[in-house]
Amino acid sequence: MAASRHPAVISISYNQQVLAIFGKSKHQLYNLIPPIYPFRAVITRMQSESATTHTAPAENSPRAEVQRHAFVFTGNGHEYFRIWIVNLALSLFTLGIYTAWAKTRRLQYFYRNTQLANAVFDFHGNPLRIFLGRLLAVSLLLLYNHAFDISLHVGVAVVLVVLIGLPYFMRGSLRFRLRNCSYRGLRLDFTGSILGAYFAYWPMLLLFLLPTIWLGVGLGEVWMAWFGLLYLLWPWMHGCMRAYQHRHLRFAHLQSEYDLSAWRFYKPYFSGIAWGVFVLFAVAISLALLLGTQPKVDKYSQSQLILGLITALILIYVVYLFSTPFVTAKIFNLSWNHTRFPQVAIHSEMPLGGYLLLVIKNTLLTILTIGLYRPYALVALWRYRLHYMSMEMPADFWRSQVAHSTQHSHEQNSGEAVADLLNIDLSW
Amino acid sequence: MIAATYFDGKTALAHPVTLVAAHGHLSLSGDLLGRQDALHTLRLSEVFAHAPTILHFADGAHCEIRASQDKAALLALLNYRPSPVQKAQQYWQSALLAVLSIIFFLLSFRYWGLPWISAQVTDRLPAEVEQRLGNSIMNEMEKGWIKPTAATPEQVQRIEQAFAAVAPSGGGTRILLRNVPAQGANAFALPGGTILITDEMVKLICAGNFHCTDAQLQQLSAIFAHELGHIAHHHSLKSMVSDSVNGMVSLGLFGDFSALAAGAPMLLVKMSFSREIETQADDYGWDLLAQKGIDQQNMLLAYEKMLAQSKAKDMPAWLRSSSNYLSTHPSDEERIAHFKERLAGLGKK
Repeated sequence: MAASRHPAVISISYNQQVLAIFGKSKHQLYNLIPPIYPFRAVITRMQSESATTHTAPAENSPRAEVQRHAFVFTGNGHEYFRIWIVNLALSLFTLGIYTAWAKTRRLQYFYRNTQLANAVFDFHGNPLRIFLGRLLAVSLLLLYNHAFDISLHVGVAVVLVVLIGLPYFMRGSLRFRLRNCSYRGLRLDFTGSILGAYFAYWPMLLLFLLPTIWLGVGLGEVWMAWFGLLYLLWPWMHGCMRAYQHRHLRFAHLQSEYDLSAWRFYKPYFSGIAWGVFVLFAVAISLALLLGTQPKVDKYSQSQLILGLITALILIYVVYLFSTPFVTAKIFNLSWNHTRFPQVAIHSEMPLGGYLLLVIKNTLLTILTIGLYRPYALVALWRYRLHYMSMEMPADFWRSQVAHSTQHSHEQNSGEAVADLLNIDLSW
Repeated sequence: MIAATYFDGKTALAHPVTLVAAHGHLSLSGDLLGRQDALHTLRLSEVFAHAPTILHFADGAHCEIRASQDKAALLALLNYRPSPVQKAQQYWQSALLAVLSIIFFLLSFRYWGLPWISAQVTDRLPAEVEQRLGNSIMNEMEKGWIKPTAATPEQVQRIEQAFAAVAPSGGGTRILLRNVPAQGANAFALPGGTILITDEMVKLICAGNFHCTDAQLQQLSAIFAHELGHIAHHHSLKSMVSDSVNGMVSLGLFGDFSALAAGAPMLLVKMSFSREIETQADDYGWDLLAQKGIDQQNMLLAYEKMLAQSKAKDMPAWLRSSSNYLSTHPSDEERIAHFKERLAGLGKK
C-alpha cells in the first residue's frame, strides 16, 4: 500500500461490508459495526468463542485474501489484582529483589492474555537479567543524585557516563524486551543500531542534563531560563525517539517500516495543550460563577492566600490530567497507524474521548483507594488500547513466516553472548 | 483427548492438533503432523485463569490449549503443581493477607526502619563530612539571603554569654546572630555545630528590640537548648539520609503511577519524621536546661511568645490544626501543652 493508506482501509471495509451482507462470516460483520466500544466488546467475544470463523476464505472478492484481525485481551482485573498484591508484598519483604520476578510474571500475564488471530504472545525474559538491570538503574540514579555533592570531577564523570551509557542501555532494554517476546513460536527483535540510539536519545538526555551540568560547573543561574526555550523542541525529540523505536521492529524475517516525520508530533502536542487550556478556562469560569464575586479587598490574609495557592495547584493538575491522555492517545494512534510490516498493516483507532474518560476514572479511583485500584487500572488501560488495534494481512501470511536465523543461534555465539549480557532491562 | 494449537517454533503456522497420553508419553497428531514425547520432557508455563495454557516441548515447539476442560485435563495429566506463590495468587484470603502485611511492613519501615537506617549511616560517617556540609550550607546562605545583625557588639556578646551558659561542655558549638529577613523569627542548627538565630527571633523574645533582660536571655537559652538538641542528635544529617531513602522507596512504590503521586506519601513521611525530630530536640533541650540549672519554665515562655505571634497572623484555627499533619514542626499549642504536663509532673514529685 502507498504512503496514504486510508483510502485502502476504506476499500477493504467496503468489500467486507458487501461480504457481510451476503452473510459470509461473523468476523467480517465485525468491521461493519462502527467503532463503539460496547458493541465491539460483544462482537469480539462472539468472535473469540468461535475460533474457526476467521479462516473462512472468500474467493469471489478481489481483495478477499486480506484479513483483519482484532487484538483481544482475556485477562481481568480481579485476577490481576491478586497477582499484583501478592507479588508486591513479596517485593517489599525481599527489599525489592523480588520485583524482577514480579515484573516477569506481570509481562507474562499481559502477553499471554493478549490474543491476535487465535494465538497469544509470550514473554521469556530471565528475571535475573531484569534484576541486574535494576541494580544498574538504581546505582546510576544514586550516583547521579549525589555526584556533585562528592566533587566536581566525580559529578562531571557521572554525567558523562550517563550521557554515553544511557542510549546504549535504552537500546539494550528494547532488545531485551523484544527478543524475549514471542508470538506463534517466533521471537520479535529490535534491530536499531547503536548510532541510531545516540541520535534518538541524546537530544532529550541533553535537555535533562544541561541544567545539571550548568549548575554543577557553577555557571550561574542567569542563563538557565534560556534552557526552557529548548523545550519547544520537545515534540520533535519525542518524534525522533518514537521513530527509532518503531522503525526497527522485527518479527521473524519481517522488518517494520515507519513513515512518520518527527515534526508531525507538534500537532498532537499543540492540540493537547489547547484542550488543557480550554478545560482550565471552563473550570475557572464555572468556579467563579459558583462562588460569586467577593468584595474587593486590598490585602489578602494568609489563609486566603494559602487557599488560593491550593486551588491553583489543583487547577494545574486538572490541566495536566486532561491534556496528557489526549496527547498520549493521539500519538499512540498516529505512530501505530504509520508503522507497518511487509504485507501487514497496523491500525489503531483509539477514540480520544473514551481514552480520556478512562484515564481520569483510573486516576481518581487509584488515588481514592490509595493505590489498590492500580492493577484494575492497568488491565482496563491495556484492554482499551488493544480493543482499538487490529492488523491486516493476507490469509496465507503465517505459512511464509519462518524463524530468523539468530533466534536459535545467538545464544551459542559467544560474541553475541557478551554483547547480550549488556541487553538488560532498565525499564520498570 | 485434548484439543490444542501447535506451533513448531520454526514457522508461524498454527496447526490444530489433538493430544493423547499413553505409557508415559504424549502423542500429538494433526493434519500431516505428529510427534511423541516422554512426559518428563514437557514443561508447562505458569497457568493463568483466562489465558491459554502453554505446553513447551524440549525442542522449542509449543502448544496453546484454550478450552477450560482441555486445560484441566492437561494439568492433571502432567501432574502440575503450582508453586506457593502461584497458589497464593488464586485466593482472596491471601490477597487480604498481602494487603495487611504490606501495611504492617510500611508502618514498621516508617517507625523503625527509617530511623534505624538514618542512625546507622550517620554514625558511620566521619565528623568532617558533617562539618563540610555545614560549611557549604553557610557559604550558600551567605551568598545572598543572610545579612549582618543589626545588634551592637555588646548586645551580641550578651547573647553569646547566654549561649555559653547552656552549651554542653566540650565545645564544638557556636552561635551566630544574623539578619535573615526571609525567615522571620527563627533559629537553625546547621550540621557541624553552628546555630544561627535571626534578629527577628531575638526581637520576638526581647519585646521588640535587642535590649534583653536577664529573664529574656534565659528564654533565649531555652531556644538554644532546643537547637543544641538538633546538633547532639545529628538531626540534619539524619533527615538528609532519611529523605533520600524515603524518596527512593516512595518512587519505587508509586513512581510508575505518577511522580506527583509519589511525592505525596514522601512528603507525609518527611513531615512526620521532621516532627519527631523536633520533639526529640525539645526533650533534649528540656533536660539540658535542668542540667545547667536554668528554670525549665523558660521553654514554655519562649513557645508562648511564638504562639502569640502566629495567632496574630490571623490564620483560622481549623487551618492551623489541620496543617499540623502537613507541617515540619509540631504546633506550638501541642508543645506548650506537652511542657505544661511535664511541669505539673515535676510539681507532684
